[in-house]
Amino acid sequence: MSHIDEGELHAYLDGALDEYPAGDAVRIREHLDSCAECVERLELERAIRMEAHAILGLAAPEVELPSFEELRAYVERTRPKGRAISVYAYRMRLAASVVLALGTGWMLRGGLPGAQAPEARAVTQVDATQAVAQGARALSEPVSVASGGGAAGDIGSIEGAGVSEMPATVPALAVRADLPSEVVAERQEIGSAPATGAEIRSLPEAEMRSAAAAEVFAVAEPAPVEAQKQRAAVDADLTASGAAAERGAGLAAESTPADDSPEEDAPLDFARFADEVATTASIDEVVTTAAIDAAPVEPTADSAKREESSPSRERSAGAPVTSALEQNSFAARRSVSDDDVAISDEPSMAVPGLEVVTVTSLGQGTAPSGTHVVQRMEDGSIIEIYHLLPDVELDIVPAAAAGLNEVRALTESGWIVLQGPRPVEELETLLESLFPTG
Amino acid sequence: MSGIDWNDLYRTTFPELVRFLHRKVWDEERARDLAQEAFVRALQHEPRQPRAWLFQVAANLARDEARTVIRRKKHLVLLKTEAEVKEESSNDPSAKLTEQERWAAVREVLDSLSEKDREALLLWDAGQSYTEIANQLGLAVGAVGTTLSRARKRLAKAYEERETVDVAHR
Repeated sequence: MSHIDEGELHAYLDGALDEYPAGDAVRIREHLDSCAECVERLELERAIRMEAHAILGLAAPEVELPSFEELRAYVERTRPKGRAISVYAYRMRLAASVVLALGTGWMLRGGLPGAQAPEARAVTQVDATQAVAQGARALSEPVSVASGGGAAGDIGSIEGAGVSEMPATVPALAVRADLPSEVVAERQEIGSAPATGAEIRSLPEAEMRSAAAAEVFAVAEPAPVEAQKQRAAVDADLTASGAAAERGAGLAAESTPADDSPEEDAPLDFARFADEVATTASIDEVVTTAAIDAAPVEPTADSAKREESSPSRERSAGAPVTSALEQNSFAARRSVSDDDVAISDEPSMAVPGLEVVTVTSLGQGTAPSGTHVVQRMEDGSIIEIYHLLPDVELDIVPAAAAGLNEVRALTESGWIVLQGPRPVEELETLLESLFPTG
Repeated sequence: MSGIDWNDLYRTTFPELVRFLHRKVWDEERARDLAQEAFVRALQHEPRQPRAWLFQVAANLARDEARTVIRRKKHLVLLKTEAEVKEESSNDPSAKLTEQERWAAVREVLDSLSEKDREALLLWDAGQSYTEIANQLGLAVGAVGTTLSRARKRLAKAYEERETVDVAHR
């Protein structure tokens, strides 16, 4: 018969057995009823417990209770009249505007949602050399935008992929989506990942509305974290061409007909847009935006070559990643002229200097509730950071798995939770690194 | 508006919150201010689990406070003249000193504990349940008893050792 450990004895003394699993509570009580040795140990622990309590009591100040009514009145007096918009709401608003504007433009150009072939809606790769070449910054890495069709808690995600995976010669925008089975023209399992999706190529060009270079992907990926397991993904890979290609203005230029919206009038940082879309837009909005408005461009030799080497598209968890999202982290604290957006107080989305594996938007349905960032430490271990929106409760954050520690901070912009296989002190340091210094 | 009886919660939790904060910032008045600040925020946000929320906010406030105090102390060290130091020490009332000494002793032994042990101990002493402590510290509920058991032993041992040293010095 094994005896009760000290932790259980203290739980017994603290009256906390009811919080233990039911079987454990019964076992501990029954054991104490029959084991004299454990009862003796219990008394010893009781004395230690009382001593500790007495020591702490030495530093217990007398507490005078201030009037609750005064406190309540103060809160009512100081409660803001209008709710200040958070940076997330700002992004949501911006993303919604972009999607609406692009959708309207497409409709005006004669397109109807039902008229588009499902394949074209699902995935389109667009060459947009001219648009990207006009004043865009060099993009050194592709960016993936994933939208969660499966998990209730996910509405989108953005992932980084290795620089070396993509030739930087063909500016292209590819949006991937989970596809209905009838759309699948050709399936190819990606890497060793579970066959939850497939890569599909060679779609009939006639079915593609505006992209001559077409690729369709349903993405299979090993999900590094639980939250991603059920996620269906839509990825947008954005590559740049040469020195002329610039991260940022690309999407605006690509997705807006050149004749009705000069690029310099509406420069839009792609990463920022992707962030906004991942936070707010549904999968259809993402796909529609990219598929519809890209200028038709003939496929190039480079794009064909790239397609041939498409196995390299498989996202490798170990790939060196400096995703656009990492660069687009809140640490950048962009200057926004919106008075009610206090971006300068925002914590960074990711720990500086660590590889960003994924950035996923959290939410129920279309209501965003935060962002989930997965980063890789130098030794390969994974840390996860949850940025919850204001008023979003911690219970949407999954409990840290066995072997993981967790630290949290409540900020003006909501909870931040960091989980990882490191000591709490180290996690706290990482957490603090998200905040501006000084 | 949630069905939380804020008045009752305030009455039962505020003293615990002050004690919890006091053992972090070691300033009675500041602990009260921070506890009020936590309640103001709670009333503004109306979280669904207000007790746990309050303690988490309080812990964050205390941490921020500690940083500020460190910065403030640096400034004071730079600005304080020798004369001011002498004047300050002569103004200390003896009654206050006893209390301060007691607090200093507890603070010293608490500081000798690991962060996790200290937090578990303070949260428990502030009336938090095992589940609440587990959530705050990222532990399994079953591990809270073990942590508390270890923390209590270490606290008692450290305090005894300190007393022994004190007696030897007198």
